[in-house]
Amino acid sequence: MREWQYEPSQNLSRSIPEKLTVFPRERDMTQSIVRGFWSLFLRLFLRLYFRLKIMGRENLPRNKGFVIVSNHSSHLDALCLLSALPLHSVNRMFAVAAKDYFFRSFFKSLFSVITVNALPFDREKQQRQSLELCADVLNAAEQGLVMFPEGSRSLNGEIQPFKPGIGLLVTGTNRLVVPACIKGAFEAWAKGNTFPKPKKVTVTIGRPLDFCDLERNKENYRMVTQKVEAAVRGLKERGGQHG
Amino acid sequence: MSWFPGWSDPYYRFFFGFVSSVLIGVSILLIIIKYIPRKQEMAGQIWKSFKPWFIMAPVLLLIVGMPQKVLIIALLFLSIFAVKEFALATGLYEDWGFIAVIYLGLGLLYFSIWVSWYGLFVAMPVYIISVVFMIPIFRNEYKNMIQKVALSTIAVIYLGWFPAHLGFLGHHPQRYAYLLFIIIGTELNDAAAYTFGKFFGKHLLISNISPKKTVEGTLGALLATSAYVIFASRWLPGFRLVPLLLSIVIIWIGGTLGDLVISFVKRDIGIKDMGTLIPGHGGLLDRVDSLLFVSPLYFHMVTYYVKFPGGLS
Repeated sequence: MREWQYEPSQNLSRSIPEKLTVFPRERDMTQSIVRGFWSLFLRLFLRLYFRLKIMGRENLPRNKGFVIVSNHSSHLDALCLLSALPLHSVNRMFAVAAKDYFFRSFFKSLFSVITVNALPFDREKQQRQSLELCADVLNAAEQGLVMFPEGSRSLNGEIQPFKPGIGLLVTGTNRLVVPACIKGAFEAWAKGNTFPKPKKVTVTIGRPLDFCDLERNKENYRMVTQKVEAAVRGLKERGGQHG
Repeated sequence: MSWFPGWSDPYYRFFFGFVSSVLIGVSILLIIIKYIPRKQEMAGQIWKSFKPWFIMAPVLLLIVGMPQKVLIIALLFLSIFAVKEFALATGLYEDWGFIAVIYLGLGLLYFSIWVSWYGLFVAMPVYIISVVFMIPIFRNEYKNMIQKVALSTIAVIYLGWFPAHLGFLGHHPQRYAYLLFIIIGTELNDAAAYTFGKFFGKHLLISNISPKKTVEGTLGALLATSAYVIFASRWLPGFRLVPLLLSIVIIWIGGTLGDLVISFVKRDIGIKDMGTLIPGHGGLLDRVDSLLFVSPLYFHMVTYYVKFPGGLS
């Protein structure tokens, strides 16, 4: 009789905080179920409390992974973007989250992993390795990222210049970029405010951008970043015109 | 206290006092041993595995002392976590279809305990395993399916149904005495085997399966278990000589075998521990391995010698 093949999980030898911080994370049924219920609750809450409105949902690519990028001025942003995506994709979409902030303590890590399926992005020491993690996520079928190329929350609600990471990630690849713009999140819950105010929030999703034909070089990375930034700014200026 | 009925039960209070005394006594003993030359390192190792008991023992006493439904829920979670560890270790966890069926089945199994339906409790593994067998058929898939069905069957029976017997024992009016007696006894047996093995262990008991279990440790466990059963005998309603002797046999042999079962599972898979949940012990399965084996043996012994009021139906 042939021997059975066992494949022990890497998680067996990891402590609970380690399981949260390590990436790529192993699929966990309990986490997925909890995240599913949380997403349902979140959608209901955002709709009732912030009167969340989502426009341009038809622009989201189907049966294909993508990076959704938007302006960033509030903790509500990732929650709003994830709520704009189909419910069945919540376990396949990862919000790129600053490791130094969202993975600082056990409870913060747990909350970030459960609520937004956070990918720990080391923006201080290991940016390139973190970008590689992002690329790995996008290489897997139908997986996607929620990204804020500004790097951190805007202090005045205005869009800050995008960092070139997004260009590096998608230039010359078949990874699609979906620009989005969030309006009202800054007024509802700006950086430094303890409690969110019940202000109206709108998410506008633009048409996907494809940069597969471009050569991978520094100049193109910069150009792609600028194009993505322009697309997000365009959505903001057009104020809901997402076509 | 209606939320904590255990405290009004004299048997519960006896075992509560016993556990507290053991925790304090062993702590003092370890402090003394620390000052014996050449024994400091050993005392340190024992202390490392003893320390988690300051959390585990109060949790155990709290769960057993609360209303019986709490015990059922706690055992359901214990089974689910045990299955999860086993599935992670074997790789079965990759297949969520099997895991979902096992979890749902465990839910139904513990539901039969909740409603005190013994007939259903006994029959439930048959139905769960039947559904497990149906998964490959509905998927129209055969590759590796014997392995997955077999692993699921082990999970349902050994990690779900075996410990669930303790939940059913919880329906007995003297549940505090019977449950605390067996849980504490089994853990003491384990701890004694480990401690005696550490101090006097020279000859390996089952060398290929467990490199730590020694003949001396196992004999020490018999000694400790016998002393415990004699000491607790006054606090076990309805237990005469034969059930007391059988208790020693069940705790000693059953506990040792339970430990060895998980040991051979780990060796076959090629891992050291089943997890990291309990520092100094490993995973949950590393801690409750003996109890899994002991639970059904003890349940049937108790229900044979001390009748359930109204019988089991």
